[in-house]
Amino acid sequence: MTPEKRRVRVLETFFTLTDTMVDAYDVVALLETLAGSGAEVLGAEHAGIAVIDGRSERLELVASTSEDAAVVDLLQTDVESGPAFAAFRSGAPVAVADLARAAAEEPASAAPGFARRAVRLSVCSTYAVPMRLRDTVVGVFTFLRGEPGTPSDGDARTAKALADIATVGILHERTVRQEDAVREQLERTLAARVTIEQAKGVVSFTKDVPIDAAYEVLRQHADLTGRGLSDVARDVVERRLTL
Amino acid sequence: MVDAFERAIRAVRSADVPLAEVGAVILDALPVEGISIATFGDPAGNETVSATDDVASRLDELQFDLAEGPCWDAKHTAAPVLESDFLGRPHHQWPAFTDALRNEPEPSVQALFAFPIAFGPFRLGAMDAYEVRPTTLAPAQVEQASALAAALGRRLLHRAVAAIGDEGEGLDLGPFSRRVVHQATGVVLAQLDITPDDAHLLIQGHAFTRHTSMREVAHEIIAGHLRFERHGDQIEEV
Repeated sequence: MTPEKRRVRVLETFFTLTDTMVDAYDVVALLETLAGSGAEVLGAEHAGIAVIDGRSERLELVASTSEDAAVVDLLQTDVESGPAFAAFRSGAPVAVADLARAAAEEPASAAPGFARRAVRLSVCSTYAVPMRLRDTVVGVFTFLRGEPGTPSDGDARTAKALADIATVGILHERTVRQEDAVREQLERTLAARVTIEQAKGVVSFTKDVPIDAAYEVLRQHADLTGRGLSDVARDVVERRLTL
Repeated sequence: MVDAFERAIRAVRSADVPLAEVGAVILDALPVEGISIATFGDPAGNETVSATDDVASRLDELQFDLAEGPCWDAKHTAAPVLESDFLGRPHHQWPAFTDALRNEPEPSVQALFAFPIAFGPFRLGAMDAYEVRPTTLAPAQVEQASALAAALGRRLLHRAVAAIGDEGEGLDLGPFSRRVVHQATGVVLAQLDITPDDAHLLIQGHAFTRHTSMREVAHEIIAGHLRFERHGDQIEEV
């Protein structure tokens, strides 16, 4: 992508996102769109968004550009113990420019850590941005890239803006004044993710299709009916809707 | 008006009523002297979780030690065991248990009833009820006691899997693993037309009884290697 094309693409992405957020929107679908757009404009192979679960105090992956188990597993390792976790803890972005080198430095005897797992999937560098609300870090937006290197200043700013949109997107339904409200909103987001996963299972069984295909069925139905993905998922799980 | 049975069912289903107190609430609903609720054998191990008096807990203890008695039969046959005059006109043979009861300092148990406690394919234990004189339960009472014991299945399986703690399943609590578990929960709830909570508990129960992880069980379910079917009231794996 030429710099000019990329600039246009970034602007288009923000227009789409702000358009979405003016109307009622589905938070999980928004986060998935964000992950997808983020990966595209930053030239990343994969991207994921994780938010903190107030009960377990752990980061939960809530959106990913890929449903592939190996990729999700890698993102999971990232938010549990990798650079994404470091970004979450420190409240500042964390870049690892050369994962091959980091992998070589991992003790060979131990179970493979993030870097070694990343290299196996041809991920060469990573950039993780904390999702901040004032002094609190509520999650992390992480980008896994196919080439070594750190993002340019422009890319880093874009990534931060995307992370901010993710934060606002999750929390904007109400004016958040209290920590309780933030926690509640994060929990609702995670609960929506759980329901969507359950709905995938239901559709997978009733239509006798793989999980990925079941997800497509759910999304198509949400698109066709103009309803939120989470609403459709809830109806499916509660057996009020058969797809 | 809420009758004693309705109150007992609610107490069994409510996590706010401690299991230890559930026996007393059930006792109000049944015309017996005492009640005990216990898990025993595989997979949950021998433990009385609620007993309304010493005789009731002693009955459990004897049956645990001797590995025979109405509670074992109820568990194995998945059907109520009804001995309305078990010393005078016994229907079952429990030589050691009967001897032991006769030799108790105050042999006072004349009628014994045991109702199986299970959740889906998991047979966990039994609810025992005793009376100090020969007593017959009416069919409606047997039905109510069976319903109470059935409702206890969910509570006891929850308790059993909670006892191994989050530690053992620590890795399983990771969001990625849970993703698979949630998907499998969806498959199971669709197979059996049950709530997500019950479907999740079935998966948990499987992991627990097989000493494996929920993630492992979830993968089997999604791959179709493990399937649940409903046959009447019974949930079976195929």
